[in-house]
Amino acid sequence: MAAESYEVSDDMTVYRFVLREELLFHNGEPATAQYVVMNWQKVLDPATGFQCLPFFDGSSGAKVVSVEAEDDRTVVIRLDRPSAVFLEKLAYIQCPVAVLHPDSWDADGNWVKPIGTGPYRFSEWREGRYVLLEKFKQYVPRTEPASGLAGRKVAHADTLRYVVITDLMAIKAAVVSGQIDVASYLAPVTALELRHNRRVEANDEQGLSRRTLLIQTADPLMSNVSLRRAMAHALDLETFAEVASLGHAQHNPSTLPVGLKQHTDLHARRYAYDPDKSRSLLAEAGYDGEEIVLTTTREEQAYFDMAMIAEAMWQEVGLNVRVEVLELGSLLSKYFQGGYQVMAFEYSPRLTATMNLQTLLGDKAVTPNRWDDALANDLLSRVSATPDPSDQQAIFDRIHERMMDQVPVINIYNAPIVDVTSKRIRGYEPWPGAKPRLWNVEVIE
Amino acid sequence: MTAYFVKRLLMVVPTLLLVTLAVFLVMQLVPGDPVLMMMRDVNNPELVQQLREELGLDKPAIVQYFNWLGRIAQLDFGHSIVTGEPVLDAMFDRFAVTAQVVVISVVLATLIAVVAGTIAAWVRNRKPDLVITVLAVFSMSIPSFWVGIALIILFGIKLQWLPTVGYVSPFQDFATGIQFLVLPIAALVIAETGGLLRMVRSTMIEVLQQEYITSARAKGLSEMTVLFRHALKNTLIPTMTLVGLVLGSLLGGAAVIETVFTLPGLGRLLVTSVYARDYFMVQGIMILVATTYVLVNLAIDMLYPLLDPRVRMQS
Repeated sequence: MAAESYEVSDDMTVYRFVLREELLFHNGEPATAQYVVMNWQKVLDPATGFQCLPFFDGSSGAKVVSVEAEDDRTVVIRLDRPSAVFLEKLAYIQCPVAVLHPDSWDADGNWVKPIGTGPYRFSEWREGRYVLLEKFKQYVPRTEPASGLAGRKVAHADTLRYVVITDLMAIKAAVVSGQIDVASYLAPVTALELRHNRRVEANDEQGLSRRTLLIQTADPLMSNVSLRRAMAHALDLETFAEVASLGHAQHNPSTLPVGLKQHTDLHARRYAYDPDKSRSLLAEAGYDGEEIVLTTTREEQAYFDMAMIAEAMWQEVGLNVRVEVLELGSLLSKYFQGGYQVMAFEYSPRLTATMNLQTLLGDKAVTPNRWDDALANDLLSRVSATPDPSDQQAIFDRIHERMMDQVPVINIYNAPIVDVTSKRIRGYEPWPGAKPRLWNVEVIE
Repeated sequence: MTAYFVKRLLMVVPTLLLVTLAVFLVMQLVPGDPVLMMMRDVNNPELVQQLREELGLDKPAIVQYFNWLGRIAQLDFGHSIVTGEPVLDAMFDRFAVTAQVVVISVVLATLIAVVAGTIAAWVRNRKPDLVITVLAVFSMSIPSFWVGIALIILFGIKLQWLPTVGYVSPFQDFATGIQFLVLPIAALVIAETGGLLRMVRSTMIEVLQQEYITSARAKGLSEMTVLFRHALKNTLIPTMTLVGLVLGSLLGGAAVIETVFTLPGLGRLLVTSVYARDYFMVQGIMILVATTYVLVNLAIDMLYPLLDPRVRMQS
């Protein structure tokens, strides 16, 4: 974390950050507030192509109206309206707003390399081979315990080499033979296969990714809510999650991942597995054996497994389901265009309740894969202006109840994080955010 | 000879034009979008549109095709949609890795095939022939990825003699670089030798039945002289044709072996680029692959008169 402390104004429109005194960029220059302002100018410039610009330009929540340096260490960000979720957006792990030196871009604005402030600095990227980071010796770790992507970070290793290995067998061979020390975000089957290997350790952690069955509520057939409810009650979701995750995860009916503090007991309420009720709902829906297409891909084994299990359970109650297996690129096209009836899908990890709900809710005219429900959308839009956590909780609870009633999605489970590490390293902990954290990790020969 | 060579070289141009059209059409027809692949589950319709405009993907397909054709005529293959690196640099960087593995493998496989195939033909229907033939059939029957996995388990995991993933250029660090190349080369040699060996053996058997071989033996020449001076040259033409085909197709990317051993070669780049819908990269690689295939086979054709003086190129 670049900030030593921060303050939020009572009306939640002014955020004041004080930078750490000893903070240096990887090129040795002090990371001052003036540089942070320049960085924000880059973030807010549409030409930069920042993926999460809508979070800050007013098209999705409050707009950043100014970023100013009060002095060398104090940055003030002003918003056009109150936002209780601005800090969440800054730390959004899909596209965080990093503090980068302007030399990270060349004079024409083209990206060169990241010059940040963390414990490791970028050294070399050989496309298709590796990314090499090296210890930034001038980095001063924070004192509080490590937590998530923040807290104390100590660079023990001189270099970190990231390699992309696409073949699962090659990953296993590499970690077992000691060529790599950490293999992250693997399929649970890998942990099963390697659990007795004396050279490696399989680490298991509850993840935040959501594995779901998305239902296109705008589809003529799927717009029938009784049919959607029938589909939910036809699934033995406990068994479903158990089988799909090889026992590494339990069913989570909520869009909020297990582990978030907002995931209260209410969010554990689930659809009862009741084939008879499902059949009566099908009759109520006037379902007459129309084909339902369930879209999936083989490139992501979890997607395929979910589709297979769902198909079998739905056929048991008389649903005429056909599984459509697509290559991942085609599946993503259908996802973005909303061109599916039911789709096995996984959302990557989001660390907060609001960010998770934003992947579910929205305006179908803009994002056709969203659940366009007036009540739920209205509730979500109020979170930003609701500073009190208990009031926010009440909103999250109501959205969950509404979602369970309307069934725009059937959440199955949160993907477990399975990392395999060599026994010659110490200090590694898997992270629900599904990214390997290699600070505080030591090699012990 | 020169006229024939020039004519064959000029024929490459329409071939490549057809390749560009076919590759472009296929990439257009395949569902999926490179921009959406980059966005994954993050929705930002404005940025999607902005990126499509920047990449020229919002224009009609025919305009995109001729724009691209115009650029590659000036050897501007564009930039990777995914990584931003120049396509030409990426292709040649990866081609160098593939070429090291493939050329060494094919040379070794050819040498083994010629020697073993000649011996098998010479001792036809006897035990050594049977052993060699069985090994050749085994080599032809097993897929290269299986050989690769078996080698990884034996030499990488059990014995821990050799690395199983990654690549170090032998031009930077010769000793380490060779270690990374041994297993992929061994896998390819094992997988490719069988077919070549069968070709050498069957051709050699035919040649050994020719009257001039009987005549050579009747003159009292040693068997080694008969085999390697008189018979071998005549077996090499069909063998070299097959070598050309193998070399051409493998230089176009030994994708399976490159994936199993995590080699940063052309085949792996092609596969990942197809999945990522990296249009410019896929199109560039396909042109390189087609050019390589045509040129390698042209070079093999040029060798024919050297191997057999009876062959004369007709212009």
